Amino acid sequence: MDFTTINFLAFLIAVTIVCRVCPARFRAALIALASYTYYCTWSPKAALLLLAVTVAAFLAARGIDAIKRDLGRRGMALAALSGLLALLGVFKLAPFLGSLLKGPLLVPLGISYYTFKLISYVLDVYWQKVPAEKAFFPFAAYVAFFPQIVAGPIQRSDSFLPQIGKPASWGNVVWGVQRVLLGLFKKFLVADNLSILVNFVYSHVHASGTPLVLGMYAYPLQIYADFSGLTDIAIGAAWMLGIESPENFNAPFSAPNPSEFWRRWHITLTTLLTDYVFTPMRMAVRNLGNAGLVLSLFVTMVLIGLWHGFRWTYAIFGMVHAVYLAVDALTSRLRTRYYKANPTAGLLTNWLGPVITFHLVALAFVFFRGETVQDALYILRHLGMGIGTPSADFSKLKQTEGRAIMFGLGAYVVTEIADYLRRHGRQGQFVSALPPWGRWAVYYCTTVIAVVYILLMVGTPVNRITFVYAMF
Amino acid sequence: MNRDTVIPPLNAIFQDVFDDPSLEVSDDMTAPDVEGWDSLSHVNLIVAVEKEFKIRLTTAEVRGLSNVGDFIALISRKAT
Repeated sequence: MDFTTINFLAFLIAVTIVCRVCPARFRAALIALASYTYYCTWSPKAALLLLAVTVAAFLAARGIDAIKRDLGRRGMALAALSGLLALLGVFKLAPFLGSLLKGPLLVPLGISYYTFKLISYVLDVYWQKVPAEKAFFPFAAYVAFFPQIVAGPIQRSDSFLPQIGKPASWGNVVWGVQRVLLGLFKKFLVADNLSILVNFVYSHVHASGTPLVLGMYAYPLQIYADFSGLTDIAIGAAWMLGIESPENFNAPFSAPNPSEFWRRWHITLTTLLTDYVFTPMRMAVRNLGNAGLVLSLFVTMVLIGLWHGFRWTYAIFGMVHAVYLAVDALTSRLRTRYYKANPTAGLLTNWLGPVITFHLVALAFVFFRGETVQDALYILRHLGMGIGTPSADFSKLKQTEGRAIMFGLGAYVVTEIADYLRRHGRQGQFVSALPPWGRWAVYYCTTVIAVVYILLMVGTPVNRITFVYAMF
Repeated sequence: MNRDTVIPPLNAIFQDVFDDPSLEVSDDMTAPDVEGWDSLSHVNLIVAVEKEFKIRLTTAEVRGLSNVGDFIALISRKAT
């Protein structure tokens, strides 16, 4: 059940109503049940795996809490972590194992997200940051929480569990619906339209006359609209059920440098790896000085890359960002001093910083999106190709899809404004703060868009474009 | 070591690590209060403190800190 289908929206509304009607003490069990129902529509077998992993982690954490001796606690934590990492590793290696097993190995939905939730939980219990959860239903609801299972945000247990017993309010439901509509808008009007251009370029890399540079510029916008749209739906759906999720994005393309970009992009994954990989490792190798910093950055960023799948393109994406971050960190003091001493240059960098950062990010995304490393390198070497002399195929695309692509770019600007209003208004008040005409225009138009798209998709299931981050 | 003898050298470390001569530490100060105090510079701060006070901090001790007051208490306890 994809988040953009009529079935999902109907399911979400039904669960919301039941959640509101039922007493708060049943909410954990209800959300766990709903989450497993959702998961079973994808695969009952994978749901059993999810349940087994959840039970194992639940018991392991209880064990860590109960054992008094340090050695025993450490052994238990290590066993649980190795189990979780092995599980993640096996399925991330699935494409390679599949060819060995002479049959495709299906990667369980959301495995990257739920194993990371569990790894952080086991470590937090081991580090005594949180006590082991005693009740199973809230824990099962936390791990399988259906709005977050497909693509995050990766919420920490100490933020989720205290919320589950509290009664939901209708105010939350209204905010949640607004957020879901924003997500559908981003997906249907921005991401899917821009994907026409991006898919064309990346599937015609070696055909002469393909304007490769357009693919480089359009992909960051497409993936941002796609992933943040999916996240908006997840956050909105969680709000409808009375759970506040962490934010995953904060105007990433306004970041003035690469370090700031990673504080604004896929925030829940970055903070998780910062807390559980970067900082412990940086502490362990702190005697190495700057070499230790660079090493820790490389390991963390390559892991962020490989988290998307074991492919060279993802590993290089991580390495390129590690280089950016290392240069940024090692020169940051010099730069700050220089800009303080030269106010004009300081003013200039305020404007140039985001432009340069966007370009650095866009270049790295070429590796992320490229089918192979060779393709990505070819694109980067031939960025000027096709400008002024487009291929016949591209001219045809421009004729048939040009308007849709331009519309996607315009809609992108609208979503940035909507997101700005959302961030700067009180929680969920980005639409409520508008005058009544504006509010109803937003509701009406977005609902019509959603209905039209969903109805179109009902007729043509072949053309469904799934969310990029739902495959990780 | 008591907190009064910890604070002046700690102040100097903060001013040096975050490159801000006007910085004054206080008990309730946290990372968001200080420009440039992020996950990257955090370990630089720890290393500078270890060197100055001739102590060795563990990852668990550092993880347990919630503000500068905790940090001062930890240094006072470990430094002789």
